[in-house]
This record gives sequence, structure tokens and C-alpha cells, in this order.
Amino acid sequence: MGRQIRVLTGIQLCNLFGINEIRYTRDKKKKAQALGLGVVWVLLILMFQFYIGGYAYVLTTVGMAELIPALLAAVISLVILFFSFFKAGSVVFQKKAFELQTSLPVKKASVIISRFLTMYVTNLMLSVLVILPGLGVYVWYGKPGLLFYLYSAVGLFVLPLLPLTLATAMGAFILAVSAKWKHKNLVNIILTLLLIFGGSMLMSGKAGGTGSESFADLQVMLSHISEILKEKIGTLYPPALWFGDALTMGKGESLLVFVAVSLGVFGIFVAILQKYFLRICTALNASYTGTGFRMKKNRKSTLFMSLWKKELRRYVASPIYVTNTIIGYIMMVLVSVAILIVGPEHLDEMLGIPGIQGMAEKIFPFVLGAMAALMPMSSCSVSMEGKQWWMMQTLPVPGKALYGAKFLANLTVACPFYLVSVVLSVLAFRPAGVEAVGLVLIPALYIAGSAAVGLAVNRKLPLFDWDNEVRVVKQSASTFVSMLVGVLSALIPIGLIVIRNMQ
Amino acid sequence: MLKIEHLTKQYKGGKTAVSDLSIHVRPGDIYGFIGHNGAGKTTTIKSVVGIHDFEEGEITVDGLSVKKNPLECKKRMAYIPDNPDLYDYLTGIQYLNFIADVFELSGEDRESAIEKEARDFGIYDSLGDLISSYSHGMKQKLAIIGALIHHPRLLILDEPFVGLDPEAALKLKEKMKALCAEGSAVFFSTHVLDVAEKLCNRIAMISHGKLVLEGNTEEVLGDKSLEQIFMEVAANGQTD
Repeated sequence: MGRQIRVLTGIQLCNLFGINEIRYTRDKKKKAQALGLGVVWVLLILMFQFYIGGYAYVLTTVGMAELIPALLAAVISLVILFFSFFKAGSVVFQKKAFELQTSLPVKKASVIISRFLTMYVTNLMLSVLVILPGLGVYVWYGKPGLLFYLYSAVGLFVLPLLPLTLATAMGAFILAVSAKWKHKNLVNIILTLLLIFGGSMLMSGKAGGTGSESFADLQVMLSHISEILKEKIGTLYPPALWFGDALTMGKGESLLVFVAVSLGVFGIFVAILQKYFLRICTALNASYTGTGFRMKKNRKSTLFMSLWKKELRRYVASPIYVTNTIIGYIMMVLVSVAILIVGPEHLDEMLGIPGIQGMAEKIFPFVLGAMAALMPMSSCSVSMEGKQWWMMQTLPVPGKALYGAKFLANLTVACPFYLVSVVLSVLAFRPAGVEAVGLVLIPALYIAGSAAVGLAVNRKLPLFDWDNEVRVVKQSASTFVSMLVGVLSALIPIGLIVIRNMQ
Repeated sequence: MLKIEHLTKQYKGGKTAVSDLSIHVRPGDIYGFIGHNGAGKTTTIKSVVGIHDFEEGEITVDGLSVKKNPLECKKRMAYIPDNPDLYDYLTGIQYLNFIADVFELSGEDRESAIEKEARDFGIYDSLGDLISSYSHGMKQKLAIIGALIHHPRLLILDEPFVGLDPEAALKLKEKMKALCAEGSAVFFSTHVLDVAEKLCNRIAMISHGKLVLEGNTEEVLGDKSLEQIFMEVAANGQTD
């Protein structure tokens, strides 16, 4: 079985991040694009490492160095849990690979573990890259002994296992439940969104305070903040504390518990999943077919309307496309509901930026804009054409109509969320004059702007040759660049407003 | 109808896929395009339908350049690839309505055309199902129906008989003949030499990107079979 896992994992890993394609392509433009994107990634990782290193340094200066490993472990685990949850199901139950691999003489467990390992490798790389600068600062100031290095090496390898298993289990659960329904995509989308927001609320409830701490309370908190933080980490993600205790206190038994729980949960998951794997895969790949089609009156649509309808049908047919691109719009509504309930004077607590009460009215439209621009649907709408792109190339469809329809489809999806969000925000702020115009117009401009930018980026960086939608929605250059542009375009004006007001 | 003049197509790595190729397909022609794997058939076809750009030469449809007037050319054409990847998330009828909208067919025209073609190819009952539930052959039939409902002046097919059941293959041959009888033209690549020999009034053979034979089927064949000629060309190509 070990050999089977190695072979199956190797074949999937050989094109990780499209490396194999880039290596063997003769297309110089493709290579240059990949190189450019690689440079952006390296710069971003360096920036992130610098930030983590700085954060660890601050903890060291306030005498909380012993919290660094646990805190970083908790953050990384939650990031892995959140990001893997979206894609884990479709990676593990990948249709094409299922058809190909089930015909081979390999065990089901080998198939499951190999698919899991593909995700594990990328997450391990992320964990190591993120945690190393923090641990570096800890080593520099704490001068730990040999055991620290030994435990770190073991702990880091095991760290992504538990959150990844939990994410995959949740993904598998959603797919297993939705596979039983006729409209499995719709059920999948609803369940995914419910789990995300349910989980987020549960975590913020556990991690956050009451939300009404006064300044005096905060002063008291500062005096024994180390214990409070530790307690919060323990409530949020207990394994992070085991990891931290092993590294900082040299507790071998904590490392043992950490490793045993991670491996144990993974083992149980694989054992359960291999029982239902084939059944879930078959149910997911099954289609409902009717008999006795009857022609109804077919109305003629304009080319543009027809393309627009096709675009919306494409959208709702893909749970991973919907859940990844709609989340920003849902956050817009949620933050508007929250501001209406708690009042604009608590915006600083909500966003975690102290001292912005006076600027709430100016900042809030950009906060909505940032959420709207988080990941526009258009940023992968061209790539989502995939192997069917030949149709758009050979049919008499003008580019203006094709891209116009994709743009309009993005606005159509965003529109209801925008309307609800703006109405709630206006009720919360009761703005007048320029502020009122800003509150209504700025989020609208961000929605339209991010849709246009996303489309332009995707036209420049399309990806058609894919087998799994995860590759387009979560791993493509286009979505990454669009997200970067969108978030920066909102963060820069927020930063400028804060600086101007401080001056 | 279709004129390919001195077409040369190079891939980005520098490999020449098609070199100085000239072909003339006239109205009423059923034109077979034959060659071994990797000879340049699909590249030529993709250059005609607008999937590939090309460096040298000119391609015209009804006298219009595919480079200068791509939309006008595409309005006159229908193309069916060797492995039709269709929109899996649409039902058969939604797909055909989409194609009908693209070619601006009226409600009545599309209904009668869809019903006739779908019944002829035996997939009428499945039109309400998602394309993702179709077999490879059914998808191919749906692509053919999509190509036929707007009565193209030029029908271009890449290996159309691969994957079709005998009944559907026979139907397709009838449709091709009927289309040509109306004054349209059919240009298709194939490995099924027997079909090409019996169906086509003109044949072109390509080897290593170059045209090696072209003309009326009877003249090209002489007293040999197409298979014999193909094997001779293949042997010469290997010697070269």
C-alpha cells in the first residue's frame, strides 16, 4: 500500500502549482507569466514572514515569548481549516481521478490517502514558511535547548494534519449529504455557507470578549494578558497549546498527545471514509435523467441575454465557484447587520482598529468595498469556460457581448447583497449630504470596479486546461491578482483616511 | 466556399505544423481531409474555424477573410471537434436554444429544426436531461444537431465518425449529402478511409504538414484503393 500511495501522490504532486506544465511548455509567454507570478508570491511570503517575525518580536518584548509557538500554531491551524474546507471535498472526491483510479488495482485507502497527502504537502509548506520566522525570533531571544529543535521538527510535520483532517471530514460530510439530493449543487452551497458562518460565529464567540470591555477592564486584562491569551488559545484550539507546551517547556508528553491525537483522528477518518468512499463518489457522479421530453414553447432571446443566462447557469452549477465568490458579498450584509445592531460607535471594536470612532462614517463604505472586492466572480469567469472555450472561439459571438455578459452576471449576483447592505447601513448611520452619497456610491463602485478588473485580469491570465474547478477558483493566477488588487484598492483609502484624521 | 491559400502555421516552440497548404472547397463539395496522426489536419481545421492564429497565407469563407471578418465567416460556418466538450451544466434543449439564439433563429424555426434533427439522431427523449448525463456518443450527436439546426453554408468536422454508432454514422452521411445538395459544402478530416472513399467527391491528403495529394476522388484513386495510397504516402513520409 505504501508504494501505491507513493505512486498516486507523486502523479498528483508532479503538477503542483502547474510546475510540470511550466517545466515542459515551449510557450515562452506562459513561462514568463509563471515566473512573474512566482516573484509576486515570494514577495508576499517575505512580507508575511516579516510581519510574523515582527509580531513575535513584540510578544518577546512584552514578556510573552513562551506564547509564540502556541499562538502561531493556532493561527496556522485555523487558516488551514478555513481554506481547506472549501476545496477538500472536491479534491478527495475528484470525478476524473475517480474514474481513472478506480479502474486500477489500487486500494481505496491508497486513493484517499494520496489525495489527502497532496493537500497536506501544500499546507505543510505554508505552515513551515509562516511559523519559521516566529520560531526564529523565539530561538534568538529564548536560547532554547536541543529538545526544542527536535520537538519543532516533529511538531511541524504533524501540525497541518489535524486541521486538514477536520476540513476534509466537513467537506466529505457536505458532499455525502448533498449527493442524496436531486439539486445536489444547491444543497452543497447552502450547507457550505451555513457551516462557514456557523463555525465563524462559534469561534468569534469563543475567542472574543463580551464586546463591552471598558478601558479599565482592558488595563486589568493587560496585567495578566498572558494567561488570558493562553486560555483563549486553549478554548479555540487546544492542540495548539500542546504544541506550544512541548516546544517551550520541553514537555514530551504534550508532544506525544499532539502527535497521537493528530494521527488518531486522521486514521479514524480514513477508516470511516474508505467504507463510504465509493458510494459517495458514485452518488456524486450520478445524474438524474428523465424520460419523455416534451418540447415547450421556445422563446428567442437576444445573443447578450442568452450569454448572460448561460453565465448564471454556469455559476450555480459549481458549489466551489459560488461559495468562494459569494462570501465577500455575504460579509457585506453581515457587517451591515452588525453595525445596525451594535451601532456605528462600536465600529472600532468590530474591525479591531482602535480609535476610528470619529471616522466610522467615512471608513465604512470602503470596508463594504473591501468585502465586495475580495474575490469577484468575474476573476475566474473566463477560465471557468475550461475545455468548452472552443465554442466561444468558433461561434459568431463578439467579444463585447461575451465579456459584457460575464460582467453583467457578476453585477446580477452582487446586486441583492449590495441593496440589502446599503439599506441597512443607511439605517445604521443615517448619513446626510456627501456621506450619504458616499455610502451608496462607494460600495457600488467597488462592486463594478472589481468585476471589471477581475474580468480584465482573467482575460490576460486565463487558464482553460484544468480538470478540477479548485485549480481555477483557488489556485489560479487570475483570482490571486484580482484579490490583491481588490483588497489593496480598499485598504489604501482606509489607511489614508486614518492617517489624515490622526494628523 | 472555403479557400485555404499558402497556409503556414508554426507552433510557439518553432515546430512547423502546416507548411504552404492550399485547398479549395467549392459549394456542393464533400471534401475529405486525410492524413496520419500529427500530420496537421486538426491544426488546419482549427486555423479555419478561428481557434488557431496563423503566420502566413490566407483563409477565406465565401470570399471573406477569416482574419479580417471572423464574425461574418463564423455566421456561415458550423464546426464539430473530434471530442466535443459541451456545456455540461446545461440540458440538451438549453444548449440547442443557446446555439439557436447565437444564430438568431426564430422560435418556430428552431422548434421544428430541433425536433426533426433530435428525432433523426434518436436523442429527442433526452433533451431535457443535463449534458453531463450524456454518453460520449450522445454528446457528439448533440453537437451535430447544434451544427445542423442553423443550416450552415460550410460544415467543418474533425473526425466526425469516431464514437458514433453505425445508425448515427449513416444518418450523418445522409445529412452531409443533403446539406451539399442544398448548395452548402462539407469539409472533414477522417481516418476512416472507406467512408472517405465512398462519401467524398474530393479528397486531400496531408503528410508532415504538407499537401501530398489533392483532387477529385476518382482521379486521385485511379485503380488503387485509398488505403493503398495512404500506405504509400506513409511509407514515403517515413523514407523522407
